[in-house]
Amino acid sequence: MKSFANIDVKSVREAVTLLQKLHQEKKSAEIVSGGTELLQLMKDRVATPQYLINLKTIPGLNYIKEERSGFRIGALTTLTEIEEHKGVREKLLFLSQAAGEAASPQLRNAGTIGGNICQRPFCWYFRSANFPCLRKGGGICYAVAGDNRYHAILGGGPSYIVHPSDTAPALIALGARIKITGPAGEKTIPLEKFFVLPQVDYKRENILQPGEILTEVQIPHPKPGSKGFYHKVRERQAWDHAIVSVSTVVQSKGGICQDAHVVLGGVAPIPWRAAKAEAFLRGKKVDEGTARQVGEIALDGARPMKDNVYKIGMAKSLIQRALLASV
Amino acid sequence: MANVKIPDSVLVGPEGTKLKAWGSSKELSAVGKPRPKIGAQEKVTGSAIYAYDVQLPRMLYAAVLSSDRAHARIAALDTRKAEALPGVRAVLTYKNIEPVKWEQEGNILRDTVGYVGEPVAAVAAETEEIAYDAIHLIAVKYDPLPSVIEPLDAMKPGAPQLQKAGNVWQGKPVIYKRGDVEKGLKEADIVYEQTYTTSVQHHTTMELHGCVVQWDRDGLTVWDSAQGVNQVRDQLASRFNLPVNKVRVICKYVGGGFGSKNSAKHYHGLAALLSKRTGRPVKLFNTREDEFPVSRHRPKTIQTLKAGVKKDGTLVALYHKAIGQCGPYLDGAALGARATGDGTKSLYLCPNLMTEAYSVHTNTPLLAPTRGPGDTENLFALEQFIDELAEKVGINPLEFRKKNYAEVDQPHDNHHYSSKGLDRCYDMAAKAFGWGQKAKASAPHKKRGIGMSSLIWHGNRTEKSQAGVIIQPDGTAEVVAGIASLGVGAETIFTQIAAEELGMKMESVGIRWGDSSSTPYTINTSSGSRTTAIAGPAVRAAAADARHKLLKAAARLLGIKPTEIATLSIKDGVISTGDQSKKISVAEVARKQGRELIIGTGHRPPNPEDMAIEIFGAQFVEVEVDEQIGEVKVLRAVTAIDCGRWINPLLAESQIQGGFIQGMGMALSEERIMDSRNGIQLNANLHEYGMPTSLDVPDTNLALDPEVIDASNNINAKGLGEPPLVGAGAAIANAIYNATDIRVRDYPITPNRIVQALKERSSGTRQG
Repeated sequence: MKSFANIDVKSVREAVTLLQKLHQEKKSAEIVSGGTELLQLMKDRVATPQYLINLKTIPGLNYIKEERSGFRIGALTTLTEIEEHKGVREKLLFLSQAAGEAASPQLRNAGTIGGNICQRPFCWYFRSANFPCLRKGGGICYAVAGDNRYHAILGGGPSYIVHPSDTAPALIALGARIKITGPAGEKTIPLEKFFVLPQVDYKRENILQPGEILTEVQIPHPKPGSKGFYHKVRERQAWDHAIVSVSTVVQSKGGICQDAHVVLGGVAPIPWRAAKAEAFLRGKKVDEGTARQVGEIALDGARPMKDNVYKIGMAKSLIQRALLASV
Repeated sequence: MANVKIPDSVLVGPEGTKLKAWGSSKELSAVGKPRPKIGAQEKVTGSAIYAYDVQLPRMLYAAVLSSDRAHARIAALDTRKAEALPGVRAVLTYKNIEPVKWEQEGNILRDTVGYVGEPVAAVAAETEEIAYDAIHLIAVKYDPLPSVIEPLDAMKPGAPQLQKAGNVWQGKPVIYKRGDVEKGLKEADIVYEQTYTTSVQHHTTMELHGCVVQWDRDGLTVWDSAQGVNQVRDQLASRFNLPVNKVRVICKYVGGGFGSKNSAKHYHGLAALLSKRTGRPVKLFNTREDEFPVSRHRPKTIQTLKAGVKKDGTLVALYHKAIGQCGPYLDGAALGARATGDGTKSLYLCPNLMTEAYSVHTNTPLLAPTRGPGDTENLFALEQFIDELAEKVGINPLEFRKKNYAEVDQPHDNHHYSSKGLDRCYDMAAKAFGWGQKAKASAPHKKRGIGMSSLIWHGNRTEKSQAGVIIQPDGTAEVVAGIASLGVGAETIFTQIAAEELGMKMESVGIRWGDSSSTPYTINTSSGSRTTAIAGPAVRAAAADARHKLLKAAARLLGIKPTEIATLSIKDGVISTGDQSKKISVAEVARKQGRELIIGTGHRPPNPEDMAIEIFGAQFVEVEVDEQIGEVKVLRAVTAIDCGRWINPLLAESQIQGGFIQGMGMALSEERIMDSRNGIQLNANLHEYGMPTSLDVPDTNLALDPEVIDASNNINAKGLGEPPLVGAGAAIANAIYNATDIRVRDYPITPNRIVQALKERSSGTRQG
């Protein structure tokens, strides 16, 4: 790990000002909350910041509040705290499960919801200092001609990373919004709009500008009649990224779908919302035939590479299973 | 199993006496009892001292710069920036390192590299951070040389030649033949052929590889994380041309070895040379990422099996060709040609048999023994193949194995085995498992399946071994053994053996080990599941010698003639005549001896010449497979192993459970993933290299003792460290097939491979 300076900040305002200042001085800085993700990137010398801005010393950014409109979760709340929160368990369908299946107990005790949403992409070429890949300022995406068994089948190009977060797809399915605090003040946007596809800008993964910090996650109460389903396919039952994950929320009445959210993880550079499939499902009776069609539509346009064709069938099966479990 | 007579030659006692042949463990007082592992409390409370914990005054920290090229010549190397970094005390490269021959490839650092991860430079600095910053300041310019990564590519004409003899190790395959395979195949009713592949498995030890070295006028002292203290010492003495009594290796506890810590590796040499150069102690431990190439690994293999069987299931011909991948150098290359091992040659009766093993040089890291080397790769393929053959002839897999049971060791002059309890293992494990019945799956998209495998591991070792047993002045006994504690519990077992022979309570027997300078040469290194079978008999012989001396001293004190000491016996630490008329405690004798300590020494008698020694077992598993997404859960496992006498059932169960889990990892999730364009490993970390976690382990992982008394040595033990891994993979693969009708012949059987195979089946491009 390259030497760096750590700066403990006392407020979001101080952090924002400092980040802006360092940016203007052309000094590299990273925000650290749980630090579980950044530590490994720094040890691998993929991230070599001169400064770490430690948010952990900011009071009042760790909370889970239940209000009439829904839940508000502070960015520094740990995954374990979300997993174990009684209200979250009872009311937010699968969010506790998604948080609880991320990483390992040690990492969940340290890792925060803000950090989990802002995780860097999963790609072994990106995460190795040996490969000067597109994301690190190089010229090519090594996954294209390399071993791409875990890479994107949807939304890829020119980079084929997958977004590793377990909570982000679950939160998008739940209709979550996030609060971003920056030099221009605060703004709240749907979480879905936070992520940036590589074809839009392969140098970024989300919309955060220098000086901006994700400070809160807001999750509305699920509508009456909503059922959720979450499943994460992995090779071992702990400390593993999703090969494919599915988060669905289906609001139905008498077996007829009123509204649906279908979000896939592990298949695209961003949490992948299957909007066309959702639209198809609305107003239809949820049965085996419909579920199969939804799977087909969701994966329509998938462009697998040589090693990841299997993800298509896996994702279709998961969607079917999710929908049939939701009515 | 017939009762085997224990030959007199293995029961040689002190001064012409004969040791008693031990009967059933039920009749014994210390051997066969579940004594908790010595050091277990120290380990779980964190007070056990490992090499990594050693801090010496003025100690420097070292870091190693490794090659990121698969094959290259170093065109330019600039260390000036690293040397100028404050706190850096030495930088070693091929340019300034003294000529020390390392392994078989010449100097320890050279101007060429043959695989990613090969050491290029080493730095010693005041702190670990400075050392790592320094290696990143070393500028290396490489001129690429032609490289080849995949073994099948390396065997093609025109491939870059990595060795003088060609890319096939020694220029030719290792061949074994008996009978006539072609003739056998013609006689067969059914001929079947199939190909299997196994992946690279890493040792992934908890404690990193490394050492702390102090080279001063007294010589070289190494605090090591090693599987033995003697082999590392001998190798370092020889390579540095030092007298053996000037090299001392200390290693009490080891945080895992699995075959990767047997010998002196680059890091030992570089740490020693940095210490010599700076005159200060040096600590050199790998980073976790460097562990993968440095610890080395099990080879990946491509294996083809072809068999001829009669309609009634009789095996009449077997051909096995295996290609294993090894590194570019000769070091470790032999391990690439071991997949056609005892499994193929010995496990089943077969008159016509041929094996052909190729170890193929590639620009990948070198091989090291990895728990059950050779036989594991062998049985992962063979035991799936045997199940496929059984299905072809329509016989239950267990019955097929019993039908082709081999009573004698075919590749070794049809010798009888010192013991063979495989039939008993089959029966007791099948019964405990409930073979033949499968439970209902837990969901409609899930299927349950059951599967089994035999296992074999070679036990025919004849190395010399010696140990000591000291009776201290307070009457306690201390075993002295030149071993490192690999973690399997040999030191605990030795105290039980000594206690049994001495007639003392286990609690009164301690042990000193882990220091090459204060212990005898008990074993070079704990490898091959040998420590109990090699050193245990020496410990018993040493205890017998101490007992003999104790009895002589007691006879003097009790007024018994030296010729009549045979009338004396020891029980619970009290020496008495047969009629109990005269008695004296061991403590009393020891106290009267004072500083004139009773020191017993003992050597291991050689193995009987006319016996074959193999370890056998049977493994049964039940799995549940999610057919939609390919997830596999191993629900339960039952393993019975004939490793001879179970000296300590508690430790035996631990070995079997841990071994099964390591085999399960190789079968389901562990795989080195390497970019075949450049030889860079893509998953060189514990997150992406998929060792099983506690959530993956089966709820039932049962270990069964067939209670075999082996005839090859005086403690009747054969060895248990490696066998439990050997059959695990095939048993799991067979169970997956039983559940899904899908044969995945490439390990590890990950969800993507299952989903892909199911898809091919449903689209009609695959059968079975």
